[in-house]
Amino acid sequence: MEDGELIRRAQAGDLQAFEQLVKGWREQVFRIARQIVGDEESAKDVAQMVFIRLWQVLPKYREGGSFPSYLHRITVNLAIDFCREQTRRPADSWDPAGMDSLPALPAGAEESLSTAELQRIFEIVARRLTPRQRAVFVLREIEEIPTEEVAEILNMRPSTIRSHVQEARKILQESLARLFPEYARRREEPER
Amino acid sequence: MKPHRDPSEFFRPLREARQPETFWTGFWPSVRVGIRAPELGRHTLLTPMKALLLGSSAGVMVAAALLVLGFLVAPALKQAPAPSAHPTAALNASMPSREGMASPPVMEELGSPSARVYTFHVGEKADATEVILIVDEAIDL
Repeated sequence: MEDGELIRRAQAGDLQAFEQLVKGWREQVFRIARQIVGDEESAKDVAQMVFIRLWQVLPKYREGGSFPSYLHRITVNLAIDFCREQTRRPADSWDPAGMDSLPALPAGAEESLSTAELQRIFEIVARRLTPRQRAVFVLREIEEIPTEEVAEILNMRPSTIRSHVQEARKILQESLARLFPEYARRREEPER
Repeated sequence: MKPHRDPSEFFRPLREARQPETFWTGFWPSVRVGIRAPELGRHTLLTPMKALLLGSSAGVMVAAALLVLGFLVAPALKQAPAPSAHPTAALNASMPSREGMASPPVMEELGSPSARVYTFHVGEKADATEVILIVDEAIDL
């Protein structure tokens, strides 16, 4: 069943239809929340809150609007709220002792870097980003959502989004070079 | 020196991250509970009108209990009840052979050491009936 039909049924109070909707979107909602809040368990809590909020506001949703944007806006807002409630920005939670638990870096193994290891590296280097910078980077650069749509989700101008993306990329590149130099360098292009 | 890697390119594979099915165990039930919680709350919470009615009913019940205790139970406990002006005067007057009875007969003792059961014979012949009072002076009102 397509999202449109599931949404219509859920708006009429059909919990089974809503469950299907949740199953279809939970991965992406969780993924976005995780990159913003920075840890798995908190992200799962935020994802649950997102769907509870979605159920509450779904009657107000009008067909014709972009449902993914609608859902992503709820996700980003709740994730940023969560970060604020924790009264810790990711940058403030920097723990040098945590360096001991960094993933092992076998030489030349970057091709086989697992998603879990990549996730761990992102969580470490993204600590210097504000939650909003994280949101912009995740939506635009990881999820590859068009700039105009990200601007709509975050209620910002597209130029502001582009500016945030550049800033986030710069910070991440610096952190990557400092903390994970073996991953930070571009692979050598084969000689032609 | 090699040029630095583009972080967007480096982290983009995170988009392919998928959680195992076991990760989602309990996810939907928790969402459903969250959805239901406000609805259940609405049903169980009292509206101001219901609270007012309930409060009034409770007040009436307390007042009735106090009246019963004040006008029926307390006078019966007294060794020398006040004459006719008291509301129980009619009851006392209708009790046969009251003279010589220091206190009403105790029918049985209850678990509480201060609790007593009293019985009064009211009326005569066809109208005769028994009024039973259970009294516990230890009750703190």
